[in-house]
Amino acid sequence: MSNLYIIIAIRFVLLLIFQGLIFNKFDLFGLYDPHISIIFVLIFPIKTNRIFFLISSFFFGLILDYFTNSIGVNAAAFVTIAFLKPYIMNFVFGNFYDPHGVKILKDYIKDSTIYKQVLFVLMIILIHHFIMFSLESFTIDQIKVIFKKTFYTSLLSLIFCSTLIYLLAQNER
Amino acid sequence: MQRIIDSILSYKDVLVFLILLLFSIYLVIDSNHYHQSKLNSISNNFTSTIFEWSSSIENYLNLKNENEKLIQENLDLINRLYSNEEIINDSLLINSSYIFSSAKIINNNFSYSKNYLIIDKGSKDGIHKEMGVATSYGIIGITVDVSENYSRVMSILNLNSKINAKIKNSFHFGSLEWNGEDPNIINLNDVPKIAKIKIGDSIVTGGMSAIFPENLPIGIVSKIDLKIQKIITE
Repeated sequence: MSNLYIIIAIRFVLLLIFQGLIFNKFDLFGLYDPHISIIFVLIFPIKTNRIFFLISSFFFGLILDYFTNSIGVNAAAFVTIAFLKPYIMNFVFGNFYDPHGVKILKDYIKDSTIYKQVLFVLMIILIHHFIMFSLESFTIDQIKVIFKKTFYTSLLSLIFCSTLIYLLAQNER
Repeated sequence: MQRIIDSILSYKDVLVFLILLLFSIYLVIDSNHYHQSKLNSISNNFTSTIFEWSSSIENYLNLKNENEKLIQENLDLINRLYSNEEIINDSLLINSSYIFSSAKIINNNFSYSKNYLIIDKGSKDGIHKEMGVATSYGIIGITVDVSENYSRVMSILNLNSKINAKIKNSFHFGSLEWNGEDPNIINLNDVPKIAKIKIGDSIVTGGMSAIFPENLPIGIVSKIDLKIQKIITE
């Protein structure tokens, strides 16, 4: 059981470092960076305590904020997607929401079509990026720019996240 | 009483979520009102040391480019030195009340609406708030938050940034503002209509504020919009 927490801690640190130091400098067209940090929420084990999940996502987002000088923006976005994840899984995969988590993530991936997997990842990415860009600019006049940034960054994140998840989720026991 | 507590506890997930969300939004609002939020100061030193380490690796990999840039910059400066016209017009040489010191950018970002940079000099190097920051290509921002070893600079690519700028060799001023869209284009607003501007004109700092000396380069006019603003490439 403690092995699981060590894995979560390793993902926490590694994803923060990769996102903060490498992927934030990706700058496609000078503007768009992929946000692979969302993988932290996407492959977080379902069996763990939900409050632990919420609090660790909050701190993950907060520390990520320090890397981008945007205090609170990522924290709010991460805590929201951590809260909404079970409901989105229920919506996409159509399974009865089981708080005691009999099925692990690998089962969800194995038993579903590729469309459902992509939809699940895409929904979480879209919600996160929209909250992030909206809170970051905090002005209504920027709404067109917010939508444009959300759209392109989400596409970029989707490509990177899907590839990495495919490799990482295999390891969950 | 027990039943009330039980019914509240059954919603504990939602409660924790709402508490964390409200705290995050409080942090966002707090950092919007005050450039220097308390958490920023605490974290600055720690994340900045990580940035410095990572940027030193990047710098090593970038040495060839840096060298070429420095050679070009040297060449430009030598040319200016030996061109008599420039010495008379260039207030950088005459105006000795501005002192320049150097620093390295260890973190930069253009993908947000409110962009900040971190430089590797702080209060122990004599940096304080509201100092201008520039590269040889032009101005990049104003310091907003200084800790002992590092400083945070509000980039001109920031919705809150308003810098006084003018058209080179004229006295028409405007306000330099960014609209959040393209990191290569920034707007010069409120230029009087009588100002004769052409595409290709240079825009430089106005010298009306004590932060930047006059005539530091900013950019070149790429588009003129008579209704509201003129636009510059960076």
